[in-house]
Amino acid sequence: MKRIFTLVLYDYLQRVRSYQFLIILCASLAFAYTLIPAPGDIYSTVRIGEYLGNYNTAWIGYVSAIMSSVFVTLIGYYLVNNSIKIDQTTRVGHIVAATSITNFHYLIAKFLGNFLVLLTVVALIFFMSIVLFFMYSSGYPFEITHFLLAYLLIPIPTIFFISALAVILEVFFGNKSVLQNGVFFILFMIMLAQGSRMGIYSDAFGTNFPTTEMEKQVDLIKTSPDKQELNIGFIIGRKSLEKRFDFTGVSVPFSYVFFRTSWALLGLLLIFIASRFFHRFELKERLALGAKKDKPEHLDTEPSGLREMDLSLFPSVEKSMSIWPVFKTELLMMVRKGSKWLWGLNFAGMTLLVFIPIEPAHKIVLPILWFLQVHRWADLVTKEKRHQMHYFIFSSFKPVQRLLTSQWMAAIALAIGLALPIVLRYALLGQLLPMAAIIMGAIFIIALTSFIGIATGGKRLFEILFFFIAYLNVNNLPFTDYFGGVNPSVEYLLLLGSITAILGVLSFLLRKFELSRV
Amino acid sequence: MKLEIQNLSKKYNKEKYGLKDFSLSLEKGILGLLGPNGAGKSTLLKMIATISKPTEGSIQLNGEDISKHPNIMREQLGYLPQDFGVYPNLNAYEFLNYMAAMKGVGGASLKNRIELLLEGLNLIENAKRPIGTYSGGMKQRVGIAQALLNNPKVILFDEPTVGLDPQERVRFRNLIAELADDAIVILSSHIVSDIDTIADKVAIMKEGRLLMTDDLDGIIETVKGKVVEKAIDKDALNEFKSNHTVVNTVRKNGKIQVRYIDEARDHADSSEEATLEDAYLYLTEKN
Repeated sequence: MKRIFTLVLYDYLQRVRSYQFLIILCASLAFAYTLIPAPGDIYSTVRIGEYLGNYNTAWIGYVSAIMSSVFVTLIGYYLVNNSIKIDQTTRVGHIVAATSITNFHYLIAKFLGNFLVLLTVVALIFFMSIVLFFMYSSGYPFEITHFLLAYLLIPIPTIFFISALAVILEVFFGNKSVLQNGVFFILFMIMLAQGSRMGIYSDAFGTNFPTTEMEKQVDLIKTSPDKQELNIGFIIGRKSLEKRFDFTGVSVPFSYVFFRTSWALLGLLLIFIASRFFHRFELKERLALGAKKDKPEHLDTEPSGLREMDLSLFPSVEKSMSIWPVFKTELLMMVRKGSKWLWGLNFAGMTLLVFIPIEPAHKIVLPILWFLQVHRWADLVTKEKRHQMHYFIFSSFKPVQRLLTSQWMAAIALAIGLALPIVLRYALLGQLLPMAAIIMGAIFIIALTSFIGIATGGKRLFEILFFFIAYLNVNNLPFTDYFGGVNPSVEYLLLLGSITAILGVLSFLLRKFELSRV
Repeated sequence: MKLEIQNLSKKYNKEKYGLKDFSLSLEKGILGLLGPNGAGKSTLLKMIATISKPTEGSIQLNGEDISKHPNIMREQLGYLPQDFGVYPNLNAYEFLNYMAAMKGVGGASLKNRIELLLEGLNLIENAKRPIGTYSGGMKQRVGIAQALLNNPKVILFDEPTVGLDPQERVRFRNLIAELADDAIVILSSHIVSDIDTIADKVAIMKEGRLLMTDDLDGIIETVKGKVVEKAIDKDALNEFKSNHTVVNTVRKNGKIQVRYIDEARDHADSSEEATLEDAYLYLTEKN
């Protein structure tokens, strides 16, 4: 037990002692701030038809707990979905594999590490929601039990299960990150749908019971006979029509506690099952066994050695400042990245862009198709360091101007190439504004990944943010519309263009600054 | 071609220096940088390679300060860092073409140059396989190839023989010797045999400081006549070590043959010939 505790402690410290985690905490704080809209804001997060709760401890506690249960699951998964992979890439896993630790204990340690990371984020949201209560409430007493009970029963069992799920998906799909994330996304959508349809026993997020209680309390006071529909998310507008009610919290039945605990225990059971299939870092051998005999995955027996070289036979060097070879290779690396079958998905997406009506093609298919490239774009400007190529690159001729430009051009070319069917459709229809908006969207998303990559030194924050943006895009939210799907106007395009230019300039300056401070 | 390093320092915090007050002047030929781990060899090479900025002092190439004008150095630099990686999805041709473009090299002759390098480094048969499938030694040879792409005039090799087998090490030394006819070559290592057969000049470093720089004979001179070998009992070794600068010990017939530096007396008539290793160990132990 002490051994696992030590593993968990250092695993946790290793993960949180990074600049990236600090930025993620800042982003979580900003996110927590949006969970409870300020009294004058034009959006709401939980509403029952036209009813919103007054800002007492029960409403703020339960609303922030419900929202954090859903969104910390969605975003937090991407924060913890690589704990085993880190051990693999740093080769710490090989050392671990040579110790007497069992697969189950190792996976439990990873799961608890995940849980602590997510718990840190939830704790931050918890404290922020208390601060928001004191900022927004007018005369309601502070009852901490509402906050404690809501967080204990709603997000904590959820992150417990998600921490386990992240480990399980890594065990089974660890080397196929696109598949790993795809399976999670499907599971997430199923969990979201099941929770609202099937009642508390199938509700992984734990939101069904408290929201049903909210609906019941609204039913007691409503004046209209119509059913008041529950909405969770960032809901824009209708502020003028809203009615207020005093949410008094919930009396928790034993069945609810039982099912919330069951989700947590299910996570542990699944880890136990997964531990039977854990590769224990024998990946190379497994790959070699699976590979065809005439095409070995690794050249373990190298052709012997360096030959004598006559340097006088070498042709003289010709100077060339062309960035075309760099652009070509950057594009090639992006195209080759990830599984080949993902290109099947890309072609399917491009086909949909040709054949389905232009509006859903633009609003839904395009953001999903671009999101599928997240692994290609996320490390666009950080892969030099990740592959330890930066000493070569940074000591080459004019590295910032030539490399960064080539990387931008290659990534934008890929984005526009994928969107080409819809761009051509708009061109044929003579609709230049949406066409320009898509091209601007391609430039924006590349400027965003460059800026985040250079500022944080990693790819994770962009992955999380892009996932969140894509989720809001398919839900048609206007403020994350970076490709003109919801806001097709010249003014919006100019705004997007200005933000893109600022991100581009900041990326360039930051990279220059980074190189001058190595 | 002249490389002048003047009072160069790299400070990591108020008290910790990676390199302190380092001065050296170099022209064509090979400089061997010797020093234990943490001596500051890599720090010095990174500053010469323009990927790290000095806190104090200057590095001048033909009179131009490379901190202010890094591209002057970068245009003629060939650098093989100690720890480097490669893009695993590229094959050797693609990787070298990419690196050539980054170095500002191109034209019709590039393809021929890359093929000659791949042939010389015995990578031609596997040049179309992804580098991610290469062994450690093959990756090291890819690293050497990229360093030579632009016919560099300043060549920095940081622990270059890691991953090379004994035969390859000999050929690599020959290659360095040939390169040094027309360039400044700085070769860093903590393996004395990598340096002593080819270096025109040797610099011994420890804890960020330059302990001594001279040609090979000049360095060996510091321990000439002071190297002694004698057999002692196993039990007496620890006490002997605390009183003498021991450079080597060998078990022989139940006894320990100790090679040490005896500063007190001059053993000019001693049969033990002083080596660079003796001088290196003596200087790094003493300082």
